[in-house]
Amino acid sequence: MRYSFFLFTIVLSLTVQAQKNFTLSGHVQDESSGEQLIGATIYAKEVNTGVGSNIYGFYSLTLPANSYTILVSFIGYNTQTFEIDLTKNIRKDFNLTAGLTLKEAIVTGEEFNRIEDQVQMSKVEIPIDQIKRLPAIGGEVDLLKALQLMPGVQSGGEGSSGLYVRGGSPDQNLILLDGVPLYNVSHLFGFFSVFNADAVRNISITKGGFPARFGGRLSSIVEIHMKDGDMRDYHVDGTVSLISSKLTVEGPIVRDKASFMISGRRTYIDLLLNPLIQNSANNDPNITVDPRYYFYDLNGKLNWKISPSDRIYFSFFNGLDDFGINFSENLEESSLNLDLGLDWGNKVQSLRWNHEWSPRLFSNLSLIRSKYNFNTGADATYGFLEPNTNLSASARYAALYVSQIEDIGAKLDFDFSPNSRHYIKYGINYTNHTFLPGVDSSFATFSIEGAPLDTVYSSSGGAVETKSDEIFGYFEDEFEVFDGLNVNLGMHAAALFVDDTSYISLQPRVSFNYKLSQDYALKLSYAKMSQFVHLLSNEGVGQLPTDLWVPATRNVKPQLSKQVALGIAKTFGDIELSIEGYYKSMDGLLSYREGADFMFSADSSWVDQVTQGIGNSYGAEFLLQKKKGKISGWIGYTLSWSNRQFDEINSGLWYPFTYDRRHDLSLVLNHKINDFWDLGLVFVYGTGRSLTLTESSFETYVLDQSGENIIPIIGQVPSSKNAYRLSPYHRLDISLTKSKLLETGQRDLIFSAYNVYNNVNPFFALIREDENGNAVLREFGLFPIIPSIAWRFKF
Amino acid sequence: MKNHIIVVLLISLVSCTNSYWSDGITTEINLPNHVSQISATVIIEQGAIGFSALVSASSSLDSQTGPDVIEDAVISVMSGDNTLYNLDANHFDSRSLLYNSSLSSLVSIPNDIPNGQIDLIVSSSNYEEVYATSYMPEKPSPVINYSPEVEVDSLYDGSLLEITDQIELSLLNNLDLDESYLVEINAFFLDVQSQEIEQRNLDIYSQDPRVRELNINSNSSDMDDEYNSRYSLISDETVSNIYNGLENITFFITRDEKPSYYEFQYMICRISSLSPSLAEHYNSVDSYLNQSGSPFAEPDLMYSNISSGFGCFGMMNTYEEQLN
Repeated sequence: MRYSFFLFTIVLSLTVQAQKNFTLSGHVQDESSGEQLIGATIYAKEVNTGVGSNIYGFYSLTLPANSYTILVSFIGYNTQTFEIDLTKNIRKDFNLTAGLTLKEAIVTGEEFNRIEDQVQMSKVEIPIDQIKRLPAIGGEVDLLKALQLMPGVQSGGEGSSGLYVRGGSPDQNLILLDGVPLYNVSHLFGFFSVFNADAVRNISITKGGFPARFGGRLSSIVEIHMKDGDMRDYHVDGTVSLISSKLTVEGPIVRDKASFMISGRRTYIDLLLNPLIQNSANNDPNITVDPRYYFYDLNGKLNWKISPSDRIYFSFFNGLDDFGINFSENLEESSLNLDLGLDWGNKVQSLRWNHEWSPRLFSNLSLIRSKYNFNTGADATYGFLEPNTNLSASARYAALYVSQIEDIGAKLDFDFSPNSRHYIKYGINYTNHTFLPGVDSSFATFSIEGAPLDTVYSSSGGAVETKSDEIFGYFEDEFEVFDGLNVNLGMHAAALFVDDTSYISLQPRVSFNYKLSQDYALKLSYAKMSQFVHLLSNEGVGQLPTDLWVPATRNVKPQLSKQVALGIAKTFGDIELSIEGYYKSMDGLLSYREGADFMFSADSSWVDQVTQGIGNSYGAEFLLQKKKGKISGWIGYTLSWSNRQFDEINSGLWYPFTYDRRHDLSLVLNHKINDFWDLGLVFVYGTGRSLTLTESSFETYVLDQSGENIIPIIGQVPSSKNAYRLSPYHRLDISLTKSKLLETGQRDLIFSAYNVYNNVNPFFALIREDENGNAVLREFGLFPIIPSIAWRFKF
Repeated sequence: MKNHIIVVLLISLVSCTNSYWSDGITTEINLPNHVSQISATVIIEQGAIGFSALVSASSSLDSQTGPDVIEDAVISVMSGDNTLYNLDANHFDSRSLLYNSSLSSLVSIPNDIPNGQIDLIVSSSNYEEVYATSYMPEKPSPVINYSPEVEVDSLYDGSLLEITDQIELSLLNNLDLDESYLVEINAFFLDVQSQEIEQRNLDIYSQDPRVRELNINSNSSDMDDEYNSRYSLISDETVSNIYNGLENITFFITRDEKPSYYEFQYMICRISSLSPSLAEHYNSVDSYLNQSGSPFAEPDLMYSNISSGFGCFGMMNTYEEQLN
């Protein structure tokens, strides 16, 4: 009741105030390419008021009728100043030119939208240009690995691109590519993400203080926006590294009206390693071993400005990993051919329509489709020649396992700026989920002299396809309560309908930003989140393509979280300081039961393999970030705890989460030495992840099939769950880039080294005996020092 | 099949990259002081001549010898206040390292366990006493339909082995009890040369979801030869609310090729009902053995119904039928 009255008051005040004001609206874009700029600042100097452009580059600034000096600024671009006589609604697009003029960066326009002015807390953005200058394994820059260098965001371990945000697990991150959720974002078992940095315009991660427009996951929202495509000129960007090559082409279809962008990447690890593997395996002339692995991804976008008020975007993403091995043996009297393979990939499409209903009302309608599938199969053929009769016989067995998840949906979002004090967003979203946790099928056939002999038998079994419908609606308003105090207040309401069960969740969201002084702000937020999907994953291994997405059902309830965060923010020139503390409680967490086989053939019994429990996480994060200048980078430090409790695990006692990492430190530095040389440096340190070890053993037996003899078995007694820790993780990466500017474009030669001082960072560990017979832990690493070279070009 | 494919491919990937780190680095682990507890495993089959009990002490991971057998244990099996069996050092066989209930008895008496709760108490001078309960399940009363494969092309189960025969079992499903059954088929042959009867255990398969195939290989270093057993375990877990939930369970029977001087005589089907604790024990051992050795699997504790200790106290009741 009280909330309804409060909402009514806001709407009433909006109506009253709106009558005296006029609106300046339009888009902010890059002058040379026409690319929309997200989060640009449009600031009215006289009234110390401004707004930011939305994810489509649209802005709307409503002010009382008057003359104003408008400053338009965006990081990496020259700030522009315009004089506006606002006596009627004005539509104006601002075109900014790229550049780094330090003095202009400290004008008043920049001073408005600093970190201490923003209501949104717990959000970090890394400029794409800065990411591209980071040292990278094999020379392959990775967006998610760059996010892992931020405080509050941890990696799962060596080579993993999974994100563990504020004590959450990888399935608790909503990863949106142009607004479409992706379910598996890993290539090569997690060593690389599916995101091609050359195709991306902007990336950010929100770890807390979630505004009402987001929902569906507990721990973070990762927004990745693809480039729209240059509206004015054609460009080609490419990179050739030791692991992969990529090419991006963009340009106008109709100048200033329509554009395209297409970017592809493929690895050639198979081409490099196969000859070595074959050479070592094929010592026997009768045996042939032919392994294969490659991945590719393809991003594309069409962008069409139908009218000044209407714009259509079509985006797509296709990615695939293909992993397999073929073994064959040909002898005089028999032959065997065995082919094993597994492949997994995403297919994503979205169609979006932007429409400006009025200078103050902007909308986006999206139609989306996202599909992830995983297949594995085996095909074996055995041939036999009976020596006495010369009769030939053959047998063939083939099996296929398919698992997939598909989302089809639509969403409608509105941005409404009634006046300078309120910025309202509201919308509705519908998604139909189709889950297929795993289906087996197989057949076999026998033949003699080529003629079928025994009956072909095919069996199929596995999980039933499950469909669910998810709907959510939201309303949020960011407004100024009084001078110095800004609030974002909203409600996210979600519902899931699956089989004969429904779940409804009301999720209040609120964030405060209070300016303690001109330079300091105190921030506070509260967010309740729900998640209607779970990822069945083995904690010890981390994310694998075999992990299964399953819905909340009658027996498996949704996940819920409540998070409160408190922080301070300050800007020193072009350096941002953020210190935050948080506490998050979680419910409905899913885990495999003790003794469950995480590689079981998931069928309708997956529900029997899992159990649900609760968790909490809390900690403090420190971030000092410089986004521009000759020296840029950041220092991030996190002190955190993350715990879990399941009634059926660890005797119901609380235990540390596997990725409970007490200390996490990242130091990232980019130094533009001169116009020709760039130095990049990354140092990371983190407490080792926790693990369970055997502490003692005992003996038992079972009876053999006759019931007369015993089969002795030695059993192990594990410690309490996660009572031990691996050694700390730390490594140093360095890169050196030599640039050459030519008339036709730019060429870069990038030299880099991963794990420069060759530290063995534990990938897994086993208990072994040392020379004295004492039990010791042997830790095995994955990546030693890896030097690499890459060549990048653009024209 | 999916699991095997994934394991093979993952291992091949990791092995390509780990040659540099093949020995790993050593980190000392501080294991807590271990207080040994009794591990007692007692499995009693109704109608069998005696039973064996394995009693040992748990040991720290640092122990050079592993779990030590306890030779002075006192093992009592009781029905209410009645002592059914009382085993002590006189029943300990130093060759097999087991307590044998019929070791010191002059007469071979088949086990005759009454209905109701049966208690096990195991004590030893240096260890805390342990305790467990179980009960003797009902003897199964199955309906067995046996179909020998006369012609080669009749039935196939999806494996590469040649299939010859089929049996179809139907069992009563008691909705108030958790029931599990072990199924095995033994074939008897006459060795024409020696005129002796040879018994061979036959491999059986089922694709019925009510059947779980167990593969149990001994991991004890005391075993000179690799000893393993395959079992077919029927469980009513997925049909616990269905009155006829254990009807028409199909098994395929394979027969290895035998020498020409072996004359097939007959087959015997053995179906053993297991007490819930014993069924849990077999399942747990199978899961444990199949997961151990993987560097990514967490160590898991096997099922135990022994309070303040480890092991299993369980019972089984067996039905046999000759298949003609």
